[in-house]
Parts: sequence; C-alpha cells; structure tokens
Amino acid sequence: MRPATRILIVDDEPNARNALSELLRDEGYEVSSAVDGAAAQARLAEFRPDVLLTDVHMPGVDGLGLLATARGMSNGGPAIVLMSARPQPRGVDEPFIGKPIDIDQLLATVQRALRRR
Amino acid sequence: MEIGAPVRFCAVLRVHGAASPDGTLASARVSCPRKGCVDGAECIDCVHLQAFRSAPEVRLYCSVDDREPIASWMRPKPPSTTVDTRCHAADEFAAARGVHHLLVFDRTFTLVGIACRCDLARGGTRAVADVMSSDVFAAAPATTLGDAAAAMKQLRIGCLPIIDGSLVLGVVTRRDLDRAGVPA
Repeated sequence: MRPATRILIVDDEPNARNALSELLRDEGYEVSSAVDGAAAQARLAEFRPDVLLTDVHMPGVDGLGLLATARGMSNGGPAIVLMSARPQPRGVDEPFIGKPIDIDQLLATVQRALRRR
Repeated sequence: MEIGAPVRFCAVLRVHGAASPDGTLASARVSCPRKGCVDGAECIDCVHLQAFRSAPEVRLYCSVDDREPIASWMRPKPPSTTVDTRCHAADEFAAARGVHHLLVFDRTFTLVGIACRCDLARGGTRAVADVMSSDVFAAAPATTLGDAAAAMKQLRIGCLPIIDGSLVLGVVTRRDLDRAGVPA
C-alpha cells in the first residue's frame, strides 16, 4: 500500500488549524500541525512532510521565514503551499490559497505543489 | 502550558448546508450556526468561516470560542405565558412555537418562573403557577458562553433567561449552546 502523503499545517489560529486537519484527514492525508513558524521548524525534521501548508502571517517566525528554512533543507524540502486572508505576498511564487479555504481548491493546489516538487 | 494557566476553548463547528444547484457556496442556502439559514455568499465574507467544501455537499467549518458573550447566541423574544394560564393551553402554545420551555410572568410582567412542557403536559387544567419552577436562574448579556454552559450544567437547567436589570432580553437553551459548540 502506498504511504499517505504527509502534510504539516502551520497556523497560529487554532480553529483554522483544527478545521484543515480534519478536512485533510478526511481526504486520506497524514496530517500534523504546528502553532507557529518556530514550532514548525522543529517539527519539519521529525515529521518530514511532503507538503508544508503554512499561514503567511504569524507571530515570531512567519510563513515566509518558514519558507526560507524549508527551502534550505538538504533533501530539497517539502512542497510548499502558502495561505493567507490577505493578498499573495509579492516576490513569492509558491502556490498560494486565500482564506477562508475552499477545500477543493486546496486539494488541487496541494497536488500542483507536489508535481512541482 | 503552565499549571493554572487559563485554557482557551475553541470549537470547530461543522455545518452541513443545503446542496446548491451548481455546487458553489455562493449560490447555496446554508444553515449557519450564527445567522441561521443564509445565502452562502454571506459566509464567504464571514470571519468565522475557516474552511468550506462546496461539492458534493456544502460543508462549512466555522469557529467559535467560549469567551463570546452569550447575548450573541440567545433567542430574542422568547415565548412566554402567565401564571393564570391553564397548563394544557400553555402546552399547546409551546408545541406550536416549537419550544420546550416557556417563561412565566405574573400580572405585573415580572418573570416569576419557567415551565417546561413535561410539567405542562402533566398539569392538565391546573394553572401554570402550580407546575412551574419558581427557581429562576438568569444571566447578564455579557456572560460568556463558557460560563453560561458551566452554570447550566451545574444547576441542571436547560433554559437560561438573559436579563438586563428587570428586562428579559431572551433565552439560551442547551440546544443553542450545542449549536455554538459549547455543550452544557
């Protein structure tokens, strides 16, 4: 059996984190979550996600800081999907999805990010 | 987490909506836990909507936390009756209004009790005053959802009037708190 794709969700808003975790588990993904960028940096090496789904705006290490960490990982790092209630940050060409999250759009974006990896 | 640190309760409400003809949230009528049955387009702009799925069925994942004031979840203008009303008539009225509890007022329009349909059904032709519960616990509109749920659980009551001074603003029932994701 093919192992499930692992997704690490990073969002400081607990309701968004819980909702996305539940939705993505329903879709058969293996999901872990982190409350902010700093916690996610520690979780990246341990969980080794295929996809990093991160909010852009968070206290401390934000989504863009996390993006820099993930890009520098030795194995090439996970595919990255950014999400935010605000417009896509300039100069970043990673797949982006606006909040509130349309789950069908998110699933398509995750697949696109995995193909780009 | 430090011992004794306050724990913020957060709930994710899963709301199933009515299927929309073209499978989009914008064209669906959805049952929003906060606003009732609304156009799905209203939900897209709502800060409480965290995530949604529009096909094959509309599903919304809304959020709430138990520090919200109870006033935003109460039902205004709660069905009421008077102490002199016959139980069978009050029971029929409650059934017609689709509620389990009636607030009971005296002749000076003061809240003096709460009657549930179980009591009213047994009361027959007696007056509501004979079967109502005279121990009325009420909450102020600023009471948080969490405090209200804890109080209702402790007091074992299913209906909590919300009052401002002597003015009755509305009621919150166990069903309302379930709807808010904060069960009593």
